[in-house]
Amino acid sequence: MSQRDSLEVSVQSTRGTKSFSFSKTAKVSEVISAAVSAFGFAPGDRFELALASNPGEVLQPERPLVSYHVMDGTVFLLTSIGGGV
Amino acid sequence: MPVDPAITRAVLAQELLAVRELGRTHRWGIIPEFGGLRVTVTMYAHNGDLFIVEVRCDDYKEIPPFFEFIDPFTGDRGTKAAYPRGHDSLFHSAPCLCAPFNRKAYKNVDPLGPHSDWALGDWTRSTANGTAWENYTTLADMFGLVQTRLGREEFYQGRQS
Repeated sequence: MSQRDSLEVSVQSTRGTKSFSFSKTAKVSEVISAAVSAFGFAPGDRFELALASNPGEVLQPERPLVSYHVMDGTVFLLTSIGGGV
Repeated sequence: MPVDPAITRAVLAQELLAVRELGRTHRWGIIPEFGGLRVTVTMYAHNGDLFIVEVRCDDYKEIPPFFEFIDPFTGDRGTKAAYPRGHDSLFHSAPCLCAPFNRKAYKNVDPLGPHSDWALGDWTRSTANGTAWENYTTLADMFGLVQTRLGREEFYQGRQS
């Protein structure tokens, strides 16, 4: 029996929710980059990723998805931080 | 140039779809008043503090909406007690939500507005303070940014008074 190396996840943002497929060893930063591009956000901002079930806890960009026990169906929340003016 | 209220209502109806979807994640209470072109949202800080945000959307999106905070204990509008304090100047001590997407931040609109150097017509293209404000041009974008300052322990510092 073979095990898939990919994860089917969703990313929610202020501009809706999209589905993505990533390698289990993909880093959080790769998810952020892919989602920022897919949602059409301008890249000149600070973006962070959290689990939608725990939006107050930011995932560390250098860590792989597996280290957060991400499974198929996991929903992430992409957040842009902006800046005070 | 004034925007036909029917056009603004249609924009609100469309943008509120994303606000509602995001609101399920953040436990927002969302009350649209289509007749008055107004949206009121209740939001929570990470420690449970309640905030009421009222957004007036007349002439949206020709000009940005007008954000005001309402004290959940007294109903007073625009007082420091109604406003959160954050780690940066997004919640200005005026008090005012200080961002190009808030009409109140413009001094030529409101005397409390911190900025006489911004032009209302540029609000969707602003790069003030090095931020790409084009990322904050829908109501969901705007409420989402407010939520970042409430939902994170390292950002939220209580009420302004």
